[in-house]
Amino acid sequence: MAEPLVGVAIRVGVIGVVLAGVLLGRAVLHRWQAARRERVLQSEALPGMSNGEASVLLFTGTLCSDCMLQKDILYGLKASAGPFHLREVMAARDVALAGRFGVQSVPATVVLNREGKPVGVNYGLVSGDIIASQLEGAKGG
Amino acid sequence: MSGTAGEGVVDRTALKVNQAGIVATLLVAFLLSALTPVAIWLVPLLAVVMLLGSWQPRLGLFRQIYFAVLKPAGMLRPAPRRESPKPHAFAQLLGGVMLVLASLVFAASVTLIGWVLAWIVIVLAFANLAFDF
Repeated sequence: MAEPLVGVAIRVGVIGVVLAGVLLGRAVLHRWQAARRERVLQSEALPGMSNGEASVLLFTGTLCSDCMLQKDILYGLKASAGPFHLREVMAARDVALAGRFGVQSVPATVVLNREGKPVGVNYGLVSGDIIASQLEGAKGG
Repeated sequence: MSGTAGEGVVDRTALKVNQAGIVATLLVAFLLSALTPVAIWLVPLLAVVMLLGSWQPRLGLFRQIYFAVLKPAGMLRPAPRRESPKPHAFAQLLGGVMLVLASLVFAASVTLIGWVLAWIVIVLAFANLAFDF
């Protein structure tokens, strides 16, 4: 009689273990992203990236719906947040540049100041407000 | 899995409802299978639902529940986004194929392997649902 209940209890335990594993994996992924972001932010300005104004690098890929949305957000910002140079990079084609900025997935955005030094790094889709505040810092620097 | 509201527009809420439906159905099947082996039939049923939905989005059961009940009742708000529905349909096709394999393995009475395959679908759908992964 108790056997089915033991079965249910075991299954509830399996669900708990898998859920914990997924959440742990998520936390590890976040830490890894934070470490990559920190490494990029502490790096020196990249030669050739300086063009006298703040820049945003948008790393994109094919069949990436969030990339299209990120692009729309950035073009919207061009009107509201003042002038900045926007450069779209196909991450799969420019692997070296993607690696330089720790890009492992798309979309990703990197905000550079006038000297070409990274001042903001975002992995995944981000709001215009975040980019705008990073651009403020880029223009100030 | 597609929640296409038109060419190149996907309702993200429809996708979420679909993912939640997949996760909930498989978890119910997993839990109830401790009480009755009939619960395992939910797996091939879900496989059919997913394969139909990947072939013709309007045939997707969870999508229909969203567009016919949840959305008109105001319980969920639409979140249209300009994107191709193809990757979502492909993901649903893969999930459906995985559940067909799980069903075949269940039919061969190799229950553990069947649940491992079903759990791959659960984890991927949950990750997509909870984290937009």
